[in-house]
Amino acid sequence: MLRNYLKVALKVLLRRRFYTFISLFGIAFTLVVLTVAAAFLDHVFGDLPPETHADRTRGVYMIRTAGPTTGRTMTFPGYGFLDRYVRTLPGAERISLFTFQEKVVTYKDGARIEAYRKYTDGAFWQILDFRFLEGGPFTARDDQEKNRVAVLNASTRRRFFGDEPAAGRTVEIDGERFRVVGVVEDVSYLRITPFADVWLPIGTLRDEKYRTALHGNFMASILAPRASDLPRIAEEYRSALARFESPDPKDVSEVTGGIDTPFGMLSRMLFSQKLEESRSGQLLGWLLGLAFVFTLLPTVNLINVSVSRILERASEIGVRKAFGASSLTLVGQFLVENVVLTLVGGLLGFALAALVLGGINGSGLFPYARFALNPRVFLYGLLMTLFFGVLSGVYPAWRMSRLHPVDALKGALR
Amino acid sequence: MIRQLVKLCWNRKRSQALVAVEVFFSFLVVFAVMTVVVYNLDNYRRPLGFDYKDVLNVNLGSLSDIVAEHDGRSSSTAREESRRLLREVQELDAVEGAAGMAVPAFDLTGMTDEVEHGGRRFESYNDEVTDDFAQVMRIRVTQGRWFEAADDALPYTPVLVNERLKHDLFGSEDPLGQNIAPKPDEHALGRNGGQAPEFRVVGVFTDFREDGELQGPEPYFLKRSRVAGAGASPYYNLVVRVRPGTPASFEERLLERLRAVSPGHTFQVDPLTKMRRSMMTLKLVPLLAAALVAGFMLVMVALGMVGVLWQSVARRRREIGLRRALGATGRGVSLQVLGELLVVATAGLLVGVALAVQFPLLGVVGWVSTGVYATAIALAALVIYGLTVVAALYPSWLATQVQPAEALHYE
Repeated sequence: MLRNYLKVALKVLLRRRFYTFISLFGIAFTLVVLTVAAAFLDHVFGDLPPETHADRTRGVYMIRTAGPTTGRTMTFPGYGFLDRYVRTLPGAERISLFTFQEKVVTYKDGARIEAYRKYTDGAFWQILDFRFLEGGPFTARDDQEKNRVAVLNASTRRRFFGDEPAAGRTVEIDGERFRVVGVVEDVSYLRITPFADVWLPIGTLRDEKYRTALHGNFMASILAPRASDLPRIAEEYRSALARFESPDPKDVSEVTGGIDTPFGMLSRMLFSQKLEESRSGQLLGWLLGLAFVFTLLPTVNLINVSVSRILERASEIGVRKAFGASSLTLVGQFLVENVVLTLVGGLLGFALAALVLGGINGSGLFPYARFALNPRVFLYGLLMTLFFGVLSGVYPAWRMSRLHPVDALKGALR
Repeated sequence: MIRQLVKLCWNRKRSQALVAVEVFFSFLVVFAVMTVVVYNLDNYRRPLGFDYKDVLNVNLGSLSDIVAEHDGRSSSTAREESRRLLREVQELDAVEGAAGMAVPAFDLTGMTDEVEHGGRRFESYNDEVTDDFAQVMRIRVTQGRWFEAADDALPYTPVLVNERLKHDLFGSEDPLGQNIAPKPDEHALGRNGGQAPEFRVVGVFTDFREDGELQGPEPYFLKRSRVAGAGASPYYNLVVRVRPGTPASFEERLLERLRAVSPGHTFQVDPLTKMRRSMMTLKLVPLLAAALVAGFMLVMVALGMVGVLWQSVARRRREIGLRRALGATGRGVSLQVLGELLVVATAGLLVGVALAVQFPLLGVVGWVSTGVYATAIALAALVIYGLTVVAALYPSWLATQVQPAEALHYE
């Protein structure tokens, strides 16, 4: 039965090529947009190397402070705060502190070299699985002893040293000299935790002021032994915040926040005023809602085309009805036809999306970002295609199944 | 003629309704895109109010340093340091002039303060600048005067407001000599150590649209940077105007000089032209992506309409043939096809426009003016009608090809 439906569906699609083209154009276009959006979100928030332990890693990305005179601010936490309230959390396997990337300019032989610099500690390299092209990471000891060592990414090595190996050589960053200990593969600009061009030990920060700062530009990453330990660590963090002692209670009397994934943190920033509750579900709902609103116009368009196409087949429906096919059978048949059509369009859309993503990768708009269609994105795309196919097929199928056999046979339709 | 067309469409309202719904959604999409496009074009043609060519921005100190300053630690040494750096830069031979400011131009950050006068009270962007700023950035003062060294002795902070702020706060009143700082409440007093700030207007300048040409018209004012005494703060950025024709290698020399003066600092030197370009990219890329998606959507809608019309022409061959047999011209028939589509499109458009006019009426997006909305609605309607006519071209030509004889020997 299903095989017959599929056969009929293919025949129908090939008979009226223009309609098939119109439908496929709409479907493919819609799915290109949705797939590119999904690939983008997946690239920013999905589990990608070097974040291979993402399932048991959470971060402290933002805190919210409040006080009687300064009002409320949402900022990156400072080193002083993280060192005292996050690094001491019991139950974690490793905890790393690092700065948000910051652009610095260096001149080499008169040429301007821009690089994003991140200060971090030894644990950073153990939580994240960077692929080293040469050398290795700096260690907690380098950090403590303020050794002037640096890890570069491949592109920065090329900018400074051409194609030659860099380990052991000296590089000048922002007027200071560092010895290169390792070179890693480029990591995308859009990954908040690992991204940088140059990684330096926190100990080499010139100014010691950061050591006590409550606000700043630091973040923390926490690796738990098992994913199931995460709720307990989150609870520990909450009670640590409850014990918060302010250096200046008139200025800041309360700090709130939570440990979360980057996506969860974004949802907290958007929907949870005090950053205390993760609202990932709500954010996901909003994104799906947005996708739904976007598909409204293509859906109406596809329904229009399908209705026109189906009316053309009125006599076929009349015959089937006259021979006793129930409305439900007919609805089923046309749904299958529509889903086949959308799947073909979906595949087309997928191929086009790959081209679009290749174009974005090539544009250099986001440094080192390689947007890709992985199985996860393919799955999202497939689900969206099916949803779209059913959504746009139900109404025309229902319209058709309600045709009166006599009218249908005559082909006289309103 | 039109009444007949409406009647024809009304008789087949079930199948036409879907087309109308499609037109309605398309209109909303085009309206949204047009609003953004018109808004940005409208902004683009306004004067920027300053000259960014041959100007370098020097950022002094990283974010963590700035926040640490706010925590109140060692802010006096930072102030001394920033003054010293400014003096050093001013002495370089390629430098025409240099000034200090708090928040740089072409940057996503901004400072706001509340302003108040005659019962009107709102937040306004502002910046804190030194006396040379007007000369370096070529700010045009249209009324009153710019800051001068003698202002050090004033018991209040002198400010200059832009034309927009003058208009929004004072209307036709004379702004000179007025205090625009809001009446202090206890909360604000506590924050400022018991002393109410006083911002007194000494002049009016055309504008300083720090985010670039695409920024909307916004109220803005410039405070005079206090170099000493209570309330004085360091400046975090220097703007440096270099002599025309200065090579790019000067940036490196400037950076070396700064590092020599103050070794413990991170500096970032960027030409304003470069900062403007990245700001433009940042603002234009999402716009272009949205416009591209909307463009493809319109192609899709047009193709869909062609399909629907084609089908309807094919189904109504008998009716069309009969009209031809009774003496209707080909032109008349094709006009009917087009006319019917236009009637349906108008129905969808009317609903769309009714929804769109709510935006200016309710002031949903406050910073977009009614004029921009009106233009966007008109343009969107025009685009939709254009689309309709294009979509109807082929099917209406097809209708003219129907032979009268077909009507007679159909079936």
